[in-house]
Amino acid sequence: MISMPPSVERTTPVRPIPAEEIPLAKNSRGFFPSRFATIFGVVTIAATVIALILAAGGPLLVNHVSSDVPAGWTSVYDATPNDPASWRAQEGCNITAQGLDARGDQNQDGCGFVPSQENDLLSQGFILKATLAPDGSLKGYQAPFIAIKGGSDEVYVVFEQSGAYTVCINDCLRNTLNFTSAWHTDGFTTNSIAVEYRPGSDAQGSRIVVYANGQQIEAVAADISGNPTLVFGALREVDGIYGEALFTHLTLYSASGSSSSSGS
Amino acid sequence: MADRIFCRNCGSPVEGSGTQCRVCGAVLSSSGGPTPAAPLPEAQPQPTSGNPGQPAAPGIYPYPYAYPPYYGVYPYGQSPAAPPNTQGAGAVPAPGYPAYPQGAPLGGGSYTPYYYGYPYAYPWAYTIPVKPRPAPGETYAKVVSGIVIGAGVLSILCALLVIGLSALIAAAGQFDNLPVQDLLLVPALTGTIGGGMAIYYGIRGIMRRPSPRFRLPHPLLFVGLTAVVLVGEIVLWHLELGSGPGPSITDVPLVLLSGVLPALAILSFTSWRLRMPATRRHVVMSLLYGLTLGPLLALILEIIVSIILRLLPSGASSLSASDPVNVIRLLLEISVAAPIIEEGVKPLGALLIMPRLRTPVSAFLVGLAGGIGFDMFETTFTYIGSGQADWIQVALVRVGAGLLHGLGAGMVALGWYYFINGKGVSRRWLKGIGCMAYAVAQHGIFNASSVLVDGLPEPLHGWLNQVFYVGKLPIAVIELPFFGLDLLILVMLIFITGRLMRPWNGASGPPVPAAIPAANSPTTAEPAPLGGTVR
Repeated sequence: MISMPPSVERTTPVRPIPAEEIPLAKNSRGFFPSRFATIFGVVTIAATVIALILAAGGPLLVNHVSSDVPAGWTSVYDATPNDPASWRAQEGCNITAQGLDARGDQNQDGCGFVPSQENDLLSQGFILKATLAPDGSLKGYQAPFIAIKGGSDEVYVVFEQSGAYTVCINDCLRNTLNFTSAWHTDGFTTNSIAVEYRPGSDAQGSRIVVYANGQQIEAVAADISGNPTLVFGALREVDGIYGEALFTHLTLYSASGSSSSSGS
Repeated sequence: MADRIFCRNCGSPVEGSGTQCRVCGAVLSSSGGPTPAAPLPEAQPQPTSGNPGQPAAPGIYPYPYAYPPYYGVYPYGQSPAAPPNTQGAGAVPAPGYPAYPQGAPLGGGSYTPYYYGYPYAYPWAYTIPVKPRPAPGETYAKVVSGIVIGAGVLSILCALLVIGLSALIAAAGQFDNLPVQDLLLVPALTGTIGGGMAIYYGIRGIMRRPSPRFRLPHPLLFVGLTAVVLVGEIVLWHLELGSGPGPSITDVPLVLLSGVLPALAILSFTSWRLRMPATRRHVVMSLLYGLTLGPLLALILEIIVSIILRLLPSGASSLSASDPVNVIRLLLEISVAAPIIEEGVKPLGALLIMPRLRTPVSAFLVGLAGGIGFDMFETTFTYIGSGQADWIQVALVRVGAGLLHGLGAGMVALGWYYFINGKGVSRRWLKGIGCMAYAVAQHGIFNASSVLVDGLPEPLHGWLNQVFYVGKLPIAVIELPFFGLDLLILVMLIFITGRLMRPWNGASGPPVPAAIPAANSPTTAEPAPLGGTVR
């Protein structure tokens, strides 16, 4: 048995350590100091251009609320909803200079829109566009709803300031909240909701189509035949804060309406 | 073969015909032998050039592996290939060796086997190849590489899990939601890309393949691209006010870039300012750690601390001046616990490779990369998507967040450098603690500000809650003080990097940094004082 003296082990040659970098004596000139930097830079520039094109082209990929009203349809209301004659006098439905301020803690059923109660403006088809004041201008939490009541189906369109929404037919208890990135959540930008109903307009039958800030976010089958009415309101409470919605402008196009109202 | 030479004291490459190692300061001239920054241990190997019998200039290693012939354990007798007989019977003794009658019986007809180990072996051809002993720190480096590979595999598995979850959510029709997309896509992307790169670099690390210097494009490129992305999105936001937005998935690439590009600008700026003092492997792995494992660790720790702090009695669910316990709890949580946890976690990737980093500037840059990765994840994963259609506002506010996270992590890594590699540096413990305390204090002040502005008295509170408009895009006035804080941190970054580079910019030549500490290493020298580094 051969034993190895310690001196042998100690003097075994050692591979040099791959050197670590230290600062360069001088930085390279130009934007791309190496091939890696060139490739990295080109890829980053390409990614930026592609991302911008994709974001710019994004709106083409979804449906938006039509600015063209179908032939024969008429504008039955296009005004700031601050005329007391258009609203049933109820607690929680405050008529202000800015429009209809609905408070959910005072009235959970919403504020009835009188023109729709006096005439059948909805069952033959309609387009409703509602503009809301920014959340930052409210004392409560912005949580508007628009309801179509009294028809074969009752439809609720509910939004929250966080971008959460739901469209429920007859029963909202079992509905889960969806989210839309079309909603302005900053509290300083106005949001708008549009609801469109075209009975039997295509092979899918009658549908309620809901838009947030012009972008289609939901389309559900619904039949609102009968004599439905429009109701505007706010949720009672969200996260411990009472719900509120200030409707600053309403536009209603109807397939069956004949009256036209315009306000401030 | 021996194209490049390396300092025998620290293993750094020696460029040109310099007479002094730029890294450790060892004198490389052949006149007086090696004069390292600190005395070498006695058992230094005596490397020579590749020419047998020709001693190399002291202090210089020929590379790669141009060692003199090694004989290893050479039993009694003569090498069959050895041309001149200097050891056998009747041999001519090598110069300086006494005549030793090997092969002849010694004392009573027996002999004692004798072994000639390097450097006392025969200076000519040999027949027994011996694998060179691992370099100091090589085993550690391989262990770290193994850990990196394991983390990479784990990262990819987690990413696949997240991708599966995304598919389920998409199938349920719940995917058109920017925060959800960010929550799912960011971990999926960072997990797959980061995991893949971790495996790649881990394998290369185990193979001991050298990594090139980390060089990013000029910071102005990233600053320009950041401006293009932000201005482009502001324009698109205005256009969509009228026409309506598109599906959020088409915004995701822009969202990711608006979080990544400013962070890359900071990394590139620091790297260029420090004149690229680290390898690509170290910087990228630290960045990827900050992108993946770092936030995960921070999240787990912050949840634990939050649960503990919520055990404190408090009557209010939000900040209220009338509930001081709640105020204290919130401040403890976000301005004490969160900074300590995050600043502690972000540079762990740099800490793992700290024994391999030999200059404070390298440690700072590698640590900063961890913070930049952390910021990229936090900004894209948590913040920007929450703005939904107004994500551009969040992106604008977060544009300087990389400064806070990057500088903080760089300072903590610098602190670790003094603790681990700073032997010989005057007051190194004080400097190390000071660096870390700065990082935590900076983060704590920033976080506390976001809480305390809510408690400001009127009319200041009301004024801060106003908005100003860029076109029609509202920006809260309350964000302006935070832009000011970002600017202060940028000034600090410039100051710190300037101090770090002072010795490298000085006319008196390069500094004498610490050598890589490695126990039982024949190349280990005592770390020399870091002349002129951060004080």
